[in-house]
Amino acid sequence: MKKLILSVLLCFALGCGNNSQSETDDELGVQTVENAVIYESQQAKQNWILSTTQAKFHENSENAVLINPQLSFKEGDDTLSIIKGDEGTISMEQGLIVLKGNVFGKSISQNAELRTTLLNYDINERKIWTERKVEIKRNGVTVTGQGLRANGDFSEIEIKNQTTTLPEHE
Amino acid sequence: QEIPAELLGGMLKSDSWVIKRDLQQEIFTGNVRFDSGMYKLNADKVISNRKNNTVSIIGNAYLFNRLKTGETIELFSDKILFNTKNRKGSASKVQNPVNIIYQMPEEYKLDILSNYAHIDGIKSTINLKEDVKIKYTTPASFILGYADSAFIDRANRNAVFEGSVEFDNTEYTLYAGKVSYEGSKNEITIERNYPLILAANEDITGALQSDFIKINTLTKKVHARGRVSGWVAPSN
Repeated sequence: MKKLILSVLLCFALGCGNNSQSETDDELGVQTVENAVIYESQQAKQNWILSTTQAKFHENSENAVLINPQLSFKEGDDTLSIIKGDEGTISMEQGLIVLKGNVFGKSISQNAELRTTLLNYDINERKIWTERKVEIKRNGVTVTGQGLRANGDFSEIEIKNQTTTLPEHE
Repeated sequence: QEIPAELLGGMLKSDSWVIKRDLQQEIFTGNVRFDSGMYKLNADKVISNRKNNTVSIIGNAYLFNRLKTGETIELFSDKILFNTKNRKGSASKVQNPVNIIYQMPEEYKLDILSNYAHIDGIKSTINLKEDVKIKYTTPASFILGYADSAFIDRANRNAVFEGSVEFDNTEYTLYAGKVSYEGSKNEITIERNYPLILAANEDITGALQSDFIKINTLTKKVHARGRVSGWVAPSN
């Protein structure tokens, strides 16, 4: 059974620092956690790992606001890709991670780089998607598009309204 | 995967591009356009399958290639299948005939229609099947040709037309079962179905029928054998 280890890890996974809810945080009802790590584990293998320099949990919301989130996709011990953003959110109920701002992804398995301004990851469906402009660079080839969808292990990627520019003759 | 030199600098557009890594397949769908100056491609859908080195170009498929000589080759088809390794391909009619156009500006234009074309990109040969129609035009003249099948070897300037073969231009009409052209010898060989040539120009009108006819296109010499018959008369 897919085990989603969440809050327990928030404080202890990285021996994160003080759970400074009151002294440093003047927002009422907001619990701020430094260096949080959230991951999904299946048969003791992590499919994805979300680390963030800061996670803010609002009392009456099951969403967490993430600062400098980094989402890594794993296959066994291999890291398939890493996607970073300036900020983001995670909703356990919806099973949705959203990365925003300067979203930059590097796919080690595909030797590709992705840039966009917003990227969604559906934890349950293991689907990545955005309707935003995307730019992908791979082996000297630049692809721009408006919208992208991919499955969790990047074995299938769709780029919409794409323009691919092949490198010039050397 | 290495990008072929002739495609470098090109731009490829489509409404959707799906990459299936495990199947080594890439599917471009909707307004697929490619242009690298030397090559152009338009289609509704293109499927690249690296496992078996094939590219399927489906729906309003158009290929354009400009050779270094300045000659251009255009291929219009409903469906094209091309092997990127052995450079062989086939174009087939679904609704519209296959149309291949060779052109050297101010020199000649060879416009070919057929239901099926098999192309060998390395040997520069084409095998045409079913309802073959050709139109060869130069600034000074034209020839219309019809056949059931044809084989064109551009590299060696050879061509063979078979089946119900007919050739027409302003002066001649030819009916035969097989017509072969050997560019290196400047010879046309006409045989099968008791070939018949009808001629009409300002000087003469006439006809020649014979089992076997050979014409030298340079010397204009005609050699006929087997049941040779015919007539010639001044035009006026």
